[in-house]
Amino acid sequence: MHGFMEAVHLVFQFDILAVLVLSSLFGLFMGSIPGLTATMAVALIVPLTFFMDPIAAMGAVVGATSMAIFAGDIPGALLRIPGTPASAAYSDDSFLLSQKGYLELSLGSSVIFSSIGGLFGSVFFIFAAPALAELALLFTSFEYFWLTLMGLSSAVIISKGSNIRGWVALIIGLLLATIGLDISMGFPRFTFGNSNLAAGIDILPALIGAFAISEILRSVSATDLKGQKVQQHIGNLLKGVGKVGMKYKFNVIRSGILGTLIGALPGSGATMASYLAYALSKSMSKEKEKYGTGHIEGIIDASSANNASVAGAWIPALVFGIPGDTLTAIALGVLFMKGINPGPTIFMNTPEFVYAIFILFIIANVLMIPFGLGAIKVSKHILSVPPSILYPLILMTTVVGTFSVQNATFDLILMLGIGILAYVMNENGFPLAPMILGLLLGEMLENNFMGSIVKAQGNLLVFFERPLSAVLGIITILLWVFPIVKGFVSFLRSAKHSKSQV
Amino acid sequence: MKFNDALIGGVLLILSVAILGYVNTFPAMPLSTYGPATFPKLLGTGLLASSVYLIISGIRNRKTVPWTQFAAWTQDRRRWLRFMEIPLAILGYVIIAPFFGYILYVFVALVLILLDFTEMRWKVSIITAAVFSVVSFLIFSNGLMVPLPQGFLGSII
Repeated sequence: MHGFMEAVHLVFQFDILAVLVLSSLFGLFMGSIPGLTATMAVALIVPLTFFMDPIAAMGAVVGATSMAIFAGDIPGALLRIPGTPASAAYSDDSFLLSQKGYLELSLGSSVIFSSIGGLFGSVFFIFAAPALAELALLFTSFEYFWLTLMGLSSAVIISKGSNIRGWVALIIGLLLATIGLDISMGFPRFTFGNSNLAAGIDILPALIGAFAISEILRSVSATDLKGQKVQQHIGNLLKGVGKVGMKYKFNVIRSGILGTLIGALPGSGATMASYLAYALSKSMSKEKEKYGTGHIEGIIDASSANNASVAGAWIPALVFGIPGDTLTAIALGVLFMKGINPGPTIFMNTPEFVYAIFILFIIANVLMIPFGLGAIKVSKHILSVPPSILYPLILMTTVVGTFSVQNATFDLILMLGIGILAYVMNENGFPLAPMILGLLLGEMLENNFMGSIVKAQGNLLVFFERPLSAVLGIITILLWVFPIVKGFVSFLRSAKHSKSQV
Repeated sequence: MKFNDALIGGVLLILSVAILGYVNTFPAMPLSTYGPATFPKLLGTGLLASSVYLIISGIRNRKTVPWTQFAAWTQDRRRWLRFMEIPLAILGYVIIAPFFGYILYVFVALVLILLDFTEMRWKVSIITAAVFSVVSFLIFSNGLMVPLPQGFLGSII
């Protein structure tokens, strides 16, 4: 209780609340503009967090992410273009609903159920994280090794595209993480005499490169950089929302739970949460045929789930130091930069910090209602900002922001290098999330692997001796085996099918 | 720019062989077979196996997937220019900004990029670049105490 009161005192200060409000407005702006993602919004905020205290930095990340994920719904309903990938699952329904004359209901529901979903995820996070932290206290290097590997493996398996591409992306990230002085002997690896590389690849320029520069490169070349014109008049946004809320109250609960759990799965995120919630909603609905024609039910489910996943992703991040999605990967990067190592001890040593994050989530999701309604009202103006002006300004902000973290021009070269690598990977269907998680967690994985293998004196069976370690190890191996078995079964089926046709 | 898997696999194969060769030169811990090479060796082996898989699947699909495939935008010279302006602006900051100083460099670079992106809207480009360069300088240099490059103008002032 003392920790909670201290957290309240820490959060309810003018500068923290001002950071939360400003980052929320920034998140709304970025999320509303098609092509600018929530990840990019957080990546752009990162350099500024360097100059903030840890709680303000977390406030900036929480505010921007929560709002940007919601704001992606706005152009979805107005223009049929999702602002962020997390809104893509239901932008057809939102747009068609608004075409039927229910624009206010579509956007009003989005903001209200995004907020409720976000609050649901936050409450789940508040209760689940401390309980899991108790369990995590029992972990040794063996359990941490398996858990990190399990997180990275699941990031590969659930990533878009073929699994082999996910594995390659993960290995590239892990290899990038080996650059610098090694932990066992302090031996310089892959530094080639460059002193800038001795401390390893700095995560912040890498994140900005991967999520901002690669996206700028893609957008300026592949899109026509024209602003969007919105003609519709926006009336009372809350009209009818209560009625549909009552009708679909169980959908909100179901999608809140689903979104939180999906968010907690490493490598997933809001986009996957909304697609799965939409699919589940359709499969369980009594009005399946209405989906895709402008039906509110799917919008309620998916918009609740994607915002619930934002908080859900923080559960493994804070308890185990394993981020649930790319957004929390950036948040962890910020924490590492501040010298804060997430893990179960953070709940014992600095409970006020953990409570402060809980409170920030609650405030951000409550603020979402007035801010979201306001953003919808001014969306006509936001959407008219031409990307031809926006992208050059974003580019220069990344340059000055990345430089300012360590006053190092080397970081800019690193940012550019990773940005081009991420762009090429994206173009060729290699997912970015496994690479970034590999880069972020590579050191942790190697530390736990080396510690365990030395303790086990090379005997790999020791990795399965402790019950918890054995369970985690078996789950990890099943994750690897499952796609192989699945591939083999489908191969057998297709062979059988072609044989029967002959 | 899409490449056939066999080409990507070939590049990764060369990379993995180079990594495996290089980590063999790393020392081991005293009285142990493990050391700085252990982890990268495992990763290099994984990369090698993945690259072989990609090469095989690329060769198998070579009739349906071309060796290289360029997106539609690559036919447009203006879009190439836009694409190239991004790395050039970053490298320009590294190489030129220390001499010209932050404000002058950012102003000139932004005007040039904005003129291209907005199809020569001079007024908008100059005003936007001027406001951004001065405001960002004040925020980062005066507000956050970041030692942004002053350039020759800084020494004169």
